[in-house]
Amino acid sequence: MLRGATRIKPELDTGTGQASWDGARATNVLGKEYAIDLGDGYQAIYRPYSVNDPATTEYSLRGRLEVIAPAGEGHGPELVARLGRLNLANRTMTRDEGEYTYLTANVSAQSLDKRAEVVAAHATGQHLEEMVRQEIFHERAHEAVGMTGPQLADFAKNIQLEAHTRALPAKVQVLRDAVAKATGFADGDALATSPGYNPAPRRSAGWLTWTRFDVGNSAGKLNSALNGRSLVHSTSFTGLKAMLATGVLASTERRTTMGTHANVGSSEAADKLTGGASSVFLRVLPASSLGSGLKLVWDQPERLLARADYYGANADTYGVVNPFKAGQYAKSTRDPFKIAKFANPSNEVMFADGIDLLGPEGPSRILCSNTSQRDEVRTMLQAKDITAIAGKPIEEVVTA
Amino acid sequence: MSQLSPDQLWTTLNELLAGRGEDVTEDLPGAELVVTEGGHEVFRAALARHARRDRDEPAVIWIRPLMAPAGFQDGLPSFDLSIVRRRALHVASAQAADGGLHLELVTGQHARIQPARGSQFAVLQDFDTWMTTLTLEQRIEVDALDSD
Repeated sequence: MLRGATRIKPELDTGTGQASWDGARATNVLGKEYAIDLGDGYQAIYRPYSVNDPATTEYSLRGRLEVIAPAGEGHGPELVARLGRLNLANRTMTRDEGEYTYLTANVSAQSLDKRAEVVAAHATGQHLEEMVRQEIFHERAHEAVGMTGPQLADFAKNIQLEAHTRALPAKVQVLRDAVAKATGFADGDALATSPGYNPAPRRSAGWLTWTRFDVGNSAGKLNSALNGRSLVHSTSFTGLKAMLATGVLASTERRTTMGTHANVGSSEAADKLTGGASSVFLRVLPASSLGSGLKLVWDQPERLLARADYYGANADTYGVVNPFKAGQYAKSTRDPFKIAKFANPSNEVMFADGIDLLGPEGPSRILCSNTSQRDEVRTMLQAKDITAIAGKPIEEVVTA
Repeated sequence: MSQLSPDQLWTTLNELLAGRGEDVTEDLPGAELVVTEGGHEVFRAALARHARRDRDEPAVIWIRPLMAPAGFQDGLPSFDLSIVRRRALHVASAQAADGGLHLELVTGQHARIQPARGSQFAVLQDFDTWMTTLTLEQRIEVDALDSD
């Protein structure tokens, strides 16, 4: 069923950091979505790119899939199983699938998507999958005899999924070779054995992130380029306490699903239309002159710049990250070496979804404005049994 | 049109934010920011009535464009500061013209700050109302323009 887009309206218990949701949905959302019944109280909601014009709908919602289980715990495995009804892979991610996603993330992070090798690899990959699909169809065509309509639909879905799974190892190899050639490696094997190549996703807050192999392979150089510079997020005390309640510096879009977003301001918010709502904003500043005020500081910016999902601009640019809107996008860069040289105080580096403050991506310092704020923050963390952030004791992290 | 010194720019900006020189009706006049690039308008929003000069870089002025209309809670307008977040104007050159300011930004974009009109003006009134619902401590936090 196609309907006007919606968002869930969860609530957050600020004491426990636990979000809950009673099924209510906000309807003041610009866009369209499909609501798909998956049976037994399971439901999927998808906002396709094709029916959501980026010029007039919320950019940060496009392409987002939401899968809802009945109320209560323990529905995870069944929820994943039902993804099959959407023609999505409904089994645990394999190493090949992880690597394909990793390569794709690196293609966008390193701006390789228009390189001839990569374009050709995508075409070859589709062709490979099509060939496998034909093969499986010929193997199984006789089974379709006498099937009813719904049985035939299931039969076709299974062939699609099977073809996707069987073709994947070959697709990975083709894409890996192409990415290797586009980045100056002899072949995919040479790339795969380079020290920075790590297709395993990292768990960050409630989602997965991938790293960039170009950053991993030039760690020493990047560290020197970033020497004396920090990534900084300035915040208010109210803002900091809200972040520590959930442990995440989260984008507006993420906070909406976590229940920490005030949900005020109509969804016609320009930020949502431009995609800014999908990211959190940090700035590159000299570590020696951070000024006063509450700040989260990353003294080793390379810990965050190893991620594959950021971009930055060396001055505030008005208008946009949505490439369909104005030329602004051209002013931004995904190159960590360019970001390391950002010198304007208004520079911005945007990370997708957010940053897990209590995990390995946690800040090196949380600078408070005074000792009473510092003590309150330390007490908050102790109450959550947190004694260290990214390996550093909280007494050294949280200072005034 | 003559070039403005940083101090002249600062004075004129504050006059525009306060609505000085505009006809005072029931609502207090104020300013809006319009940004163009290559002749195309890419951004338009009312400006909250506060601004701050950067401590290290005199060419940077922090402002708060109200890029989303208010939500309403208990019948009163309400704003999310992470959406109406602070932004920076990094000014390459400034001129006063047509009752407003014309700024060349270091990004190559052109910015105009002028009396707010229409829907921008309405958002500014809602923001003013919202500010009066905050505690003094919260207002100081919003005015300071030092958090993102």
